Amino acid sequence: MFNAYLRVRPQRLPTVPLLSRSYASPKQRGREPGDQRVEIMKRALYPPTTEGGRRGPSPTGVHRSDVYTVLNAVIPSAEAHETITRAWMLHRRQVREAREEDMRRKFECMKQALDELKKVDEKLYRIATYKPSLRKLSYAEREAMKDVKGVNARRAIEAKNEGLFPRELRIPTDTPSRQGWNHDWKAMD
Amino acid sequence: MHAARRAASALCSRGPAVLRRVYTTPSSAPSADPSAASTSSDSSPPSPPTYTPPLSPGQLEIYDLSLSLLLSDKARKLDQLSSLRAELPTLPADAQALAQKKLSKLEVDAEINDPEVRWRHKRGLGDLSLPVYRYLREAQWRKEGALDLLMERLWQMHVLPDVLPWVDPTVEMRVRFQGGEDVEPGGYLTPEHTEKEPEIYTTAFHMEERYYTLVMVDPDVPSPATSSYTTFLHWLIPNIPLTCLSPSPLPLPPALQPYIPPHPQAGTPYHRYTLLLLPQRGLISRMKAPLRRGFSLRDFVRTYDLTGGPVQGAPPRALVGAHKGAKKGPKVKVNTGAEVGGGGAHMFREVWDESVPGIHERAFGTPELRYGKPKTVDPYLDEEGVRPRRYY
Repeated sequence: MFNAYLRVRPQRLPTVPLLSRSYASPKQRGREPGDQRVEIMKRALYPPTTEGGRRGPSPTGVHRSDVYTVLNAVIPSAEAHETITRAWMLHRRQVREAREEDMRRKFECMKQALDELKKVDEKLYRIATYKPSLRKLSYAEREAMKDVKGVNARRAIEAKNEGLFPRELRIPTDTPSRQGWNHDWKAMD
Repeated sequence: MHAARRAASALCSRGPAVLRRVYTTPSSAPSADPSAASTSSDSSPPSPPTYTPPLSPGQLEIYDLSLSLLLSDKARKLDQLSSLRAELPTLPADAQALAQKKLSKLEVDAEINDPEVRWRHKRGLGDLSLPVYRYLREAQWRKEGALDLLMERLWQMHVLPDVLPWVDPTVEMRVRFQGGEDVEPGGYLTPEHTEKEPEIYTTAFHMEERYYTLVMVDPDVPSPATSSYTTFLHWLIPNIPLTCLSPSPLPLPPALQPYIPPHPQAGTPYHRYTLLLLPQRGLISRMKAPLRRGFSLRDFVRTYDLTGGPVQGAPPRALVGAHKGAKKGPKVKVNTGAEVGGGGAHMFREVWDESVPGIHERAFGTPELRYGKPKTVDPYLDEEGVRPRRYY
């Protein structure tokens, strides 16, 4: 169906192809041959909206004369826009307040439980509320460090954060890594 | 109310609002403010007093969803409000104040997202006896530039601290002379334009009736005795009752000091005529009519306690010589007692022109005085009054 808001213009043959396979192209300076991921992402986020011929990238962007037509089609009145905006902000506020109320309830329950524990057993309370100091090493770690030789090994031990995730933890990703799994990984010694 | 509106919109057989070009290119529309563009009839015929939604149901899905969300939230808040109102008398005294604050906030929050309420507010059709319209009106005054402009002019032209050390307005005050337009704060007027009393248009944001004193002073009257300037009292009206529902222009009770028109003296720079609505604590039964020339507004404010509420934004003033970084010596903060937190303010400027002698004659019965700098005596003249030659 012919969309009234799209203008069909005679297309010129593109002189610089948008998508190109790099194995047959001549060498171009200043561009890594294999890694076009960043450029693909840029093109997806900021599609090249060219009108009337391809000009180079401009700091102010490309002029789109159909912006007002498109806007008027999507947002027919300023009052409607304000209503929709306020509804969205209200929705976000409701979600935020529900989340904050949930957290507050959980915190209250936890606080009540710990208050009870404090009355019942002081030692267990101290263990439950123990928070390791991230700046100083614990007693056990300092004892272990006495045997270790070498600056790098000591630095590696000092860099550990007790109570937090280890530095070397692999962050889960949607897709597996290009390098695969390194079975021969060793901590620096 | 929510159900009735739904029914009304269902029964309404009017067609959808015309899809008008609201977003215009900068060249075509010089004044493109959204409130003007969204009225159903643009320029000369007056807009109808009833609200019509900009889109009919089914035209834009996201708009319908937004409306249902907003109206369901309003219904929920109104339920909360009614239950809070019911349990308010049963609460202990200390919890009642907190509950009352929550209640006032809820009264505004319930209605503020309603498109019809916002539409009525934009057209000035809101009933100020309802808290949501009072809130919206005050927010408009404070945030959309009118108060900022007034305060900018007052501070920039040194009306503050020349006339008073600090003024924190809580009442919107607009001034109109002889049926003209609203005077811009700090704007220039001609003396013949201000010969008659102005009309004061006020918008207060409180339901209860409070009393205010209207004062008009000119702090730039020359005083040759002190080689400086003194203040002249032009107009004084105490005990003006004001609420949010007061009519505009404000009906003024009889003046304690009747209006004397501004008469800037020839040879002086511009005069800053300041109008102030000072908040009273109660009805002032005995106020002495002060002398006009040499009127001290600070003493007047202190005498009759016209300072209004505590001024939260006013910085505490240090004594002269008490440096900020000084470690020695006491850090003494001085409050002069004339800082005004509340009421209204306005200011305009005037300069002498040919109409002033006539105005002065009619107001005082005497011809006006003209001022100028004293003649300097040339110290290099000899007995004959001739300047000697410098080179021989």
